Amino acid sequence: MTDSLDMRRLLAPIGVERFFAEHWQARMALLPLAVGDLEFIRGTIGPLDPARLAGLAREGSQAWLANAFVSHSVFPINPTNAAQFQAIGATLYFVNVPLPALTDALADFLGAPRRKVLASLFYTPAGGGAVPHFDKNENFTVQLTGAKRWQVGETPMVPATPDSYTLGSTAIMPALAPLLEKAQRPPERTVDLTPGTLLYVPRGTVHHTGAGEPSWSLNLSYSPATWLNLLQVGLAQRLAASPRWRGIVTGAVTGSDPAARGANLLPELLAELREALDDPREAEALTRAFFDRPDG
Amino acid sequence: MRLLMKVVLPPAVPAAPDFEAQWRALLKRIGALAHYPKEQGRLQYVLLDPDPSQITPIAEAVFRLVGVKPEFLPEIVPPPYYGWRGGY
Repeated sequence: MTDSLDMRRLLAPIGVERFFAEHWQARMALLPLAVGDLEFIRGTIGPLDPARLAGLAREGSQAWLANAFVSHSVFPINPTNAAQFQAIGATLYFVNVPLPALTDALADFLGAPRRKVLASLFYTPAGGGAVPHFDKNENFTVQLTGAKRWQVGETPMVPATPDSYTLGSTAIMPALAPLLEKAQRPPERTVDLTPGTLLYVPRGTVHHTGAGEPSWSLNLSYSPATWLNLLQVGLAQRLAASPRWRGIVTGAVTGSDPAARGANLLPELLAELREALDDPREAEALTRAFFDRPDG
Repeated sequence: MRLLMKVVLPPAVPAAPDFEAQWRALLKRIGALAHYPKEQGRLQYVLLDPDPSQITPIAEAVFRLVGVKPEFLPEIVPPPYYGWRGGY
């Protein structure tokens, strides 16, 4: 009887060491789940009832509708109308359903802040799907019921992308624009997800989907906490405790009065910072400050 | 559920002689609560409060009249201004 999400066991067909060496943030992976693991995941989620899930989703629920007469439209939904939108052929998306038995297990396995790993559920009607796009999150998808065909890039189009993007869209975040200019779309692979398959898609990897039959899937996503985020948060917290670091920038540029230049603390502060960063205990404290932060 | 239906009309449509009357009749038929034409009528925003089961039939009626698929947007209501006391 499976009673927890054991990522080592889930990744056993590849091997955990190989997963981190060859796939993590770099290459998609398709894995079969053991029957017991799928049963555990389904049991943890509970009934796949739109009204119930809409009531649970912490960041709201949406219905996506596009058909012969309706241009792609997104509707916020709630427990009272979720089933009605399912009945009219919409794709349903339940964002951040609290499933700590799954999300905490994945976060702990990855060594990631728990707050950054979220569970969301998708209901896709027959004929539904998604146009080519890539996400800014590391995604693990478990097919729960039905079947869905994915076309997935073998590798990311934009490695470590700072944002999501729908191919062809003119809405591009400034941080993404220069990366997209240089990007080439890697070859894609067709994968058919059936109940009990796990698909890992690194962020920045182009994928599009189609469902031949109604299907439910679970998405476990790691909204990246970057090394840059860790350093910013950890350093800001540590340095803000020092009156010297909270001091006002003075005399830092040539051309300022020689007396003002005497008040330039930057060389001393940088020397202090170098010394601090060489101390392994400081590195641990930076990491702890970041992991203990309740939000962001 | 209150929604805004956005319809981007082909340039020739709003200028057609009988368009205004047909559009008004359609708005009445689909139960429009209000409508907001922009850009000389090329861009139409229509406020609706339909049952979800009526969304596609409404879109079909629009499509059959003007030949474009409408997009539906959630109605966005500004948050209350907590400093407001009903006067200056």
